[in-house]
Amino acid sequence: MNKLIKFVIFIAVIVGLCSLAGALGKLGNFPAVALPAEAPFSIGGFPVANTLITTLIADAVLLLFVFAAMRKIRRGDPDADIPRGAQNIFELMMDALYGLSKNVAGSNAAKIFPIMATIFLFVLFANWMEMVPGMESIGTMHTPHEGTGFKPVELIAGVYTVDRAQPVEIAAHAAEGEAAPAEGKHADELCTSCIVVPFFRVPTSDINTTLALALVTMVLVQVFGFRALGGAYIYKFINIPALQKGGMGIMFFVVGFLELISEISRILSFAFRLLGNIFAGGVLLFVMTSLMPFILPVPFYGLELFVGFIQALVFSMLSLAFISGAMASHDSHEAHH
Amino acid sequence: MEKALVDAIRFLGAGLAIGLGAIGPGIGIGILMQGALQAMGRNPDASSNIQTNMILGVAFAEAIAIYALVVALILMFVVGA
Repeated sequence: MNKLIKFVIFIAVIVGLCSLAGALGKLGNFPAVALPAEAPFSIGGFPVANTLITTLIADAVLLLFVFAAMRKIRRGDPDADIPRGAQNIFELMMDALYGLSKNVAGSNAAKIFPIMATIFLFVLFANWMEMVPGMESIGTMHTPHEGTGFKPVELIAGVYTVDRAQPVEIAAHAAEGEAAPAEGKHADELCTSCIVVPFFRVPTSDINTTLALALVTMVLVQVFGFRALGGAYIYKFINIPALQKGGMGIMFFVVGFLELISEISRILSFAFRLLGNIFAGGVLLFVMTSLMPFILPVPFYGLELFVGFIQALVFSMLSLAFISGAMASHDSHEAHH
Repeated sequence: MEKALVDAIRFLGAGLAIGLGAIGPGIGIGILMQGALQAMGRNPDASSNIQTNMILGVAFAEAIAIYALVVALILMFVVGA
């Protein structure tokens, strides 16, 4: 009986929340889908992108987590032998990642492990920023440079949202006049045709973040290759010794050029794999949230948790495989066959 | 040409680029998964090793779809936008 009453109250609360959300849904803050990162404000003429802010937050959270995990070990606490809490999670992750790098890279594992673990942790924390409430939805009101803005509506004193049901065309003179970012918080400067420029946006949904990660990784691949093989590393791409053998050697020479092209295309696939997955995930989450704010998005949050983890794993594992591939000499590779 | 028509063709091209471009990698990843799961079923002890190589293979097959995505994104946001 008691259970039944609890269940009825639970259902009533859900229905109430849903109807409230339905009433508010007309004002539902639906972020504008924009591929380039927006700059909510600028410091000294230098525009601060919202993904930069979130990248720094992700870094800070990661550092705090690592310091919390390493606290006992750094103090030399005898308790550190029995890991608990953050230290336990951290040791579990490091153990799994080191096992993976030993599996793929063999004897080179210890050299590559720090880089792949760093990439994994950063990308994981950056991807999971997506789950934080307020991400991509709270920001300042700006007049859009192109497209359609929406009528601003006051929710509580000084806090505004946009009404998606009332699109307002940008007047040509207004677009020019408000080229400088207007502070949407003040009613006297409020735009007539607005979009929300969020303060926070998932770092990896910005092409700049993922492209930077991809470039750093592919440059590191070359650095590791040269350090392991010396000048002979260049023969992977411009295979002069094979040319002297004649016959099949000419084919190996041509294959070297293909290797060079695939090295460049790896930058592209690295950057766009992460961007595509996380950007699409963000769009999926807020479309689901705007359809029905409760219950419906929950399984999709679970899905995004999984996708964020898998993408972090794929990014770090591919960099691991590429670096260990660059460190293996071509002759030993042939000896395998 | 009229801008609306150009836009319509652009969006159609973007949709076709990613839609057709995803067919090949989809089939490829399916075959790859089939092989990996069969291998794991036959030899469960080797599954961690198979899983590592499987994820690498999936990532390479997926790269082809990503090139299609790049083309679609260029059509949507760069060319004539």
